[in-house]
Amino acid sequence: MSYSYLFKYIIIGDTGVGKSCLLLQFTDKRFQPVHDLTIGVEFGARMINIDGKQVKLQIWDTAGQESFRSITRSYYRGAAGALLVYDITRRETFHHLTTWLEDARRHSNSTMTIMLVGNKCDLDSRRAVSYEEGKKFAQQHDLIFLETSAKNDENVEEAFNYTARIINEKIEKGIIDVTNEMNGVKVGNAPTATTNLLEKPTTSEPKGKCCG
Amino acid sequence: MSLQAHSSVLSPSDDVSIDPTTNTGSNPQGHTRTFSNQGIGSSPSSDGFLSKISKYFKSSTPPTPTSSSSTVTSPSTLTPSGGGNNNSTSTTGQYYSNSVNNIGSSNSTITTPNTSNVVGSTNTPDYYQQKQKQLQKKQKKKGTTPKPGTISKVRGASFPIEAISEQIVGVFPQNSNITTSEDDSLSEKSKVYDPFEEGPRMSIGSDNGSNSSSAGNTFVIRNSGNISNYLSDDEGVSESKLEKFRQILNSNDDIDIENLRKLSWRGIPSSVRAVVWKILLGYMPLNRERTEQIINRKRKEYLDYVSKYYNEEHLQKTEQETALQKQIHIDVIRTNPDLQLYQNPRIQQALERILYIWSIRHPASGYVQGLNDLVTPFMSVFLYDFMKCDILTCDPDTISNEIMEHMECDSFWCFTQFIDFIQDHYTFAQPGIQRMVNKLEEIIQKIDESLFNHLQSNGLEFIQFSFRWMNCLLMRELSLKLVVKLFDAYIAEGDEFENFHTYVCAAFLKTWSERLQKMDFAEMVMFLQHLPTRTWTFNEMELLLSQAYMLKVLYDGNNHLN
Repeated sequence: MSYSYLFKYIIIGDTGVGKSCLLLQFTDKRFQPVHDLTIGVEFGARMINIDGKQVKLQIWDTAGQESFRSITRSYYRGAAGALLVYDITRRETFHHLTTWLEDARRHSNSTMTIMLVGNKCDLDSRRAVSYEEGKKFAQQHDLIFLETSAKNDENVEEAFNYTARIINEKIEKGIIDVTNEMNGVKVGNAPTATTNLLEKPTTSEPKGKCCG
Repeated sequence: MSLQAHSSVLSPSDDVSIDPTTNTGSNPQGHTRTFSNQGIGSSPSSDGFLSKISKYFKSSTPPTPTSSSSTVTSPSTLTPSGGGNNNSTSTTGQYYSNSVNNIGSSNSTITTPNTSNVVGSTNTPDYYQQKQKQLQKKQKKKGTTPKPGTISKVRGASFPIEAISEQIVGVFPQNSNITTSEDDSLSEKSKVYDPFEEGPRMSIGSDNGSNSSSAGNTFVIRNSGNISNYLSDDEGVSESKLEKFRQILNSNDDIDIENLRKLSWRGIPSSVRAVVWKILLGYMPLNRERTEQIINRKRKEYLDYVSKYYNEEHLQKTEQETALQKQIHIDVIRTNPDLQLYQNPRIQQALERILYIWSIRHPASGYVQGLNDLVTPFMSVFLYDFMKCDILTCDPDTISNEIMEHMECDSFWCFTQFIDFIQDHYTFAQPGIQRMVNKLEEIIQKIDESLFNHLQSNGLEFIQFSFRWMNCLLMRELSLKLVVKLFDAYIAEGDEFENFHTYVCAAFLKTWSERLQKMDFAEMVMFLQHLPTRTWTFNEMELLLSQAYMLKVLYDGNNHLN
């Protein structure tokens, strides 16, 4: 299937925060309550539509365990977008965000768009990190922020799509050089310019909070 | 579905007098090993043998199977029509090439009646017919039925040929039922319980149709004779093979571990698997009189570790230890999520303790995800040995505390020894795994250049798909039942199994070569992380092991690979 752009993503964050479940929900529209541990990396792909353009997302879902860090680091290179995921019911996964962010910034290209994702917002009764804390962290570090539930398919689509919109904007503004594949963007065989001239992109920010 | 006929090709079985624990090259440790010549007549390095194999493995355009749904006709339905034993060498060489290549086909079937669509050379069935006829004559004379998998003698460079044909006959003992579970006519009586029957692990983004087939679709050839139910996973394991095991195990002297090792390589009957694993891993002594004493001491030692390091009443855990325990706890719940047994709290707690104790006793590596997978074959095999029942469907709450405890202790020690063989796979940056991935890449470049080039031109790196193969020893790719068989070979290999595993992975990747070469990058990654191995039976497993063994013989110790 033809596409205008191909964006490469990486999903990072502590083990057990629901990275693979987010990907599975996004690519397969299903939820697996007990998911196998991700060893090394897994891969998923899906086509989305951004302002009338077909955009193919290729997503590397990385293992969260520290031991695999040396393997997973290599996937930062050549990624245009990153979902940095924590679990709102486990505070330590939120505390580790700083380390993750440092790692991501050090090993990725400077134009990589990072979306902070507070997952498992369906478990509000067990919440250990408030929405405000997540939002504050995102603002401090210049990240986009959403709370999601891979289980209930809340904001999952938005997390991937909104990141793609930002990347698209960066392309349009010339911030991302599409001729350099290391930026995680590849131009496809479908026309990219026509729709831009005809319609103005509407990038309304999705509501950040998924539950209440 | 079954490929029993194919699976026997070049099987490095003791039955064909090839010593599987030896090879022609020198191993990484520098021991020079020699090929067992008994019954072969010429060493595998002789031209006739090697050139044939080399030709196949080096061929950039390997022969393609005649159809994706290949069928092997049961010799019992064929009539002899020419083709003598003496001139069969080239014929079967051709057959070998095709059949090896054909492993990629998941649609291969063995049918008994009315089929003559045979893979590869059209001469091949003649040869089978001839052999079958001869064997039937022999049996009539002797008044015996052939034992599955038994080969008396293999001659000269035609080793593969003999192996194929005689084992094919062995696969079809006259009193056996050849059934598929898809066959409506399958009677309940012939449906035998299979303790390690289950599907491979499922993962995200499944995009191939293979997952839709239920575990029940697995095709098996079973001996409907007098073998009791719990032996029923022993496809191709004959009574005589079991008897050989019994002879070694019941010896009045110390157990002959080298013979046990050789015998075990091609699969251990499930009735003796637990004890053989324990002996080969050095957990059980070779002297039977000391067994009880030593096992009791080891069990006590483990239980002491548990009370010393694990049970919370006794100690204040450090922050690191608490984090470790939390991590293991989360992972244990996610271990074998599709197997009911591993969702049981008692089993999960046992697994958690094993992993925790192992991790704090191995600080250089600590707990690495994937190790949780690797404990489960031990737990399953030992539990099965104690319970002698379908451990994957039985109610784990009915297992006595004593059995649970023994299973846990034994699993801990055997797992520990097993992982000791591959220590640096789980230390910082996992150098052992990097080494294996690099070697896999080198092997593939040698044996399947077109696949190698295809992967390269699409930008697919070996680490991207084979890391998990190495980290979890193909446990995510194969069902537990088949993994247990793989572990038979690895435990028999002992400290060399890392090397052998690389060749297993090479043979495994080559299995999908043709399909992969029609795919682009994304398709390949998706395919490789959800390989259609659900329908795999022991037959595919045996073929995989045979191919890996041959690759190792051919390429190991070769300077350009080391």
